[in-house]
Amino acid sequence: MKRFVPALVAVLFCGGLFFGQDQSFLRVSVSQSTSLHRILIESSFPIQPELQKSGNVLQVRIRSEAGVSLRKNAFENAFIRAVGWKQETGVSILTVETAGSAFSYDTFSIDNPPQYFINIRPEGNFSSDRPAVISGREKESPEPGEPRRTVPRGIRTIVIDPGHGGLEAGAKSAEGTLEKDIVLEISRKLKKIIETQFAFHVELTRDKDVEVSLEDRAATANNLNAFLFLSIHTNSSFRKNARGPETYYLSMNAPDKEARRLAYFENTATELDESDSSNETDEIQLILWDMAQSAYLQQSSRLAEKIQAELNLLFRTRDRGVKQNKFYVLAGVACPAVLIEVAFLSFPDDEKKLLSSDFQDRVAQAIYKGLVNYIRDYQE
Amino acid sequence: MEKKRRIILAVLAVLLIVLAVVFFQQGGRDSTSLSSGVFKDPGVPDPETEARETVTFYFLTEDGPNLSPETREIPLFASVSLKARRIVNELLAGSEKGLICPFPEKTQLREFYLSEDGTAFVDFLGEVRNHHPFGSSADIATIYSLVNTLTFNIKEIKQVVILVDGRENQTLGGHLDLTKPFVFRADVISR
Repeated sequence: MKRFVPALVAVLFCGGLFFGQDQSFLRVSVSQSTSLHRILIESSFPIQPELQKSGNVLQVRIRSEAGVSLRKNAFENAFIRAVGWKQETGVSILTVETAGSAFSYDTFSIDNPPQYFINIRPEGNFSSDRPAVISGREKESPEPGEPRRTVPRGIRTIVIDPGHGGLEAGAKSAEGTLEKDIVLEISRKLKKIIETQFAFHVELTRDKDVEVSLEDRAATANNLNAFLFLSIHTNSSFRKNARGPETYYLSMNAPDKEARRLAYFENTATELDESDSSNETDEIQLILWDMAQSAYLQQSSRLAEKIQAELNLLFRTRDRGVKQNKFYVLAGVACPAVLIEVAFLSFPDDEKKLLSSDFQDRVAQAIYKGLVNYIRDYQE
Repeated sequence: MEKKRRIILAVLAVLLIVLAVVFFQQGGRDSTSLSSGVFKDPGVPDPETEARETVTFYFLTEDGPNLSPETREIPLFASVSLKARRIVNELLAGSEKGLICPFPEKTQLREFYLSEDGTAFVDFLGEVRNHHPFGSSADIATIYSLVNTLTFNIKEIKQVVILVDGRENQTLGGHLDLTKPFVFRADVISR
């Protein structure tokens, strides 16, 4: 349990960074992926920018009080040439100058902390500049063998958790199809879609066939201060006819929860001071940690509903519904978290679909759509 | 006269033996429960009386994901622990009406304990995990078939902890948290 201590400290520290700002500010940073360029405006207050494109200039007007500090992070970008700030009465104006006038853009925002994203997609033959973009990205990547990529500043992380792995193969079909392989494929596809379509960094809890403990999966999300956590699984049943998708979020049974809460308060009151209480401290840590998800149950249920709705459309099955249960991997995750059972490996027709690369793409697309709907409806 | 004395002595001796048996059974329970908070049933079978009682078992059907009740008569037990063992074994033996038993075929009960706070510890041999289908649906069916059957039929059992080969496990098939007790859940039973 000791390994969680640094993680918890990191989560608290990151939280502190976000909320510790006292001066009113607007800060812009620019980043890029292979197909789009992103402008991120972070602010100390909620903003509703108005955008106007004219030629190769995109002007962003943000209502703000006088005295707001305007900050700009240094950047290098193949398409966005310059970004300028100026302030007029009651409004701060960001001017984005691009390398060409042929581009489209879309925006979205998230609260807490307020972040406003502008995705810019060059059109026409600007893609000739791509090799330079890609080599620029590679320079930022860590040396081979380094365990974890650093997350680009200001971009939030979605953690995708391909279930099982290594010796722990998960469900196995009569034909020998293994859950661990299918879910890794779907997770990789989903990562690719999110990173090309959306201004999020995506981290997989495993990107190869290895065993990862359930605690480490949750810790990956918490260490990266993840925005969302999606655990991808394929199902199996004792029933021959069980088929179709299911989406779960955590349930806590009330008496149990109450007992643990009481245990926590009793422990902190009487046992924390005892010098030989290293075990008790571990226990308290465990209690704290496995209640991490309790603060996010409502958001998790909404996320589960949005994803399940898209999967139901894809599978054309009657709604098996969003379900709640005591999933070990979800309990310690400190952000909205769901576990998706895409379909049943124990049902031959589902298995056939799950084995098809095309269908895996469609599953990833459906989950992505659910994700977007959740962010649009509940985070903007 | 001599004969009468012998009879009285024999009656007293039998009484003494009965008292001793009762005393040691009670005493045995107390001493283990004091040391570990859990008592192990001594395993002495209650004499099965003619009386029987109706027990509800929760199995799966092909009709839907939820559990369906099946009633059956079992002998009436004086001991809660013996009744619980009997119910678990009947559950593992499967349905008498063609419902689906959500346990791997060779699953066997290894031990059963009941603590004073109403926590039942149901300990299975490794088969329950080694040959499990490893899906969330299968996890849920196995766990709540057991938990609902025990808690519904035995009022002394408030919650259930599942052990495998005598040990606590994180999960059964990688999904539900086995490290904490489960309580009865009505919403996994079909209406």
